[in-house]
Amino acid sequence: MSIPESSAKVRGPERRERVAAALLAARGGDRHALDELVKDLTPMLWHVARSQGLDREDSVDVVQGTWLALVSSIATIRDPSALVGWLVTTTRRRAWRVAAAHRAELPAATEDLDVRADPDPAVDDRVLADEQRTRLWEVIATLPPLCQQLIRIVAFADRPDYDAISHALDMPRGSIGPTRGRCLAKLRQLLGVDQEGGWQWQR
Amino acid sequence: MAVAAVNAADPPGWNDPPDELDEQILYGVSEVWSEVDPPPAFLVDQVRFALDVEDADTEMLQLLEAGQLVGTRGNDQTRRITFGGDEVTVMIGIESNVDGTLRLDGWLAPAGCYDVEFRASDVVTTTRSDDDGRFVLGRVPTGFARLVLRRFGQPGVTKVVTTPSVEL
Repeated sequence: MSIPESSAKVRGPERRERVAAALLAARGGDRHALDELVKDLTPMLWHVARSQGLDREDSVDVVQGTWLALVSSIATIRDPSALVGWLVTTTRRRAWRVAAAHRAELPAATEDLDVRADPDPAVDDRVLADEQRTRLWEVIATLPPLCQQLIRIVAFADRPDYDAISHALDMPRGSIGPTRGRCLAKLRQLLGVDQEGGWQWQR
Repeated sequence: MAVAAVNAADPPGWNDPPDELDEQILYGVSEVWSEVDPPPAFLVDQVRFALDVEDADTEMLQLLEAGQLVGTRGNDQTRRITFGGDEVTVMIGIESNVDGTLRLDGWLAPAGCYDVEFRASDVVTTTRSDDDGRFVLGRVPTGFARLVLRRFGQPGVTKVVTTPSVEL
């Protein structure tokens, strides 16, 4: 049972090597390499912003702002894990500032109204492209919220960076890391899979 | 690194090394979230475009005003955007051409001779302002773009300003 080829491009050793090489080149001033990083890591940052409760427009602004801020800081970032940690931390902080600014704008009387446009889709009953996706979505919905958020973000990252992400999200130790961690183990448990079961993602 | 105490509520296998199945599951999670809440298709391009600033000495103009005017030809509308900086203000009027492209009429103040470069993701078009500071870009594509202006004719001084990228 192997990872489908398309997934090796979005996560895994191949992607991580690409990020490492691009980071080195970008630190040397290679703008094309910076574009490569933007392409590889923007999806992860999108989900960081959205999982902090921002609408789509604000999430676009926050992600763009994070990349712009990276340009002045990149000289101090030594390796892909440090880069991922910096990006996630920065995106999260910017998202909080935006969310706080919105709260400050709302007069007290309308506090109950959800005035945001297109908020992050809450895990709900929805049917996805196939049964396996729908089932996985249902299971994700039953994860504790912090685990839900963590799993959502590490799904777009590579294993060596899990620690940095967990730290950037202020997750308790043992949530994820060099070992499987409680969140992923919980997801496996809820999915009802084990190694012999041979659960495989159908493309 | 301290090992967390064993807890009856901990899910089984939490302290084991991750395996192939974990990779499968996480890939599945990324696919599910990509279906439920994908980033906008333009996001990566927009970021890349925003990063592509000429160099540290280029002044970035500020968007001062953007609005709509009713044009002189019936129900045509001219969009007008004004950018400002330390030394120059740029106003552009945007109208649609019949073929779906745009016409940009520009005014620079104070009037001066500038090379004007229109930059979109795969298009670069140049023109030059006249003595009154006016310029025209007759056919440019819609979409994200910015203008880069270079003052010429002043010995020893090359001033470069750029507008932020805007959606036309």
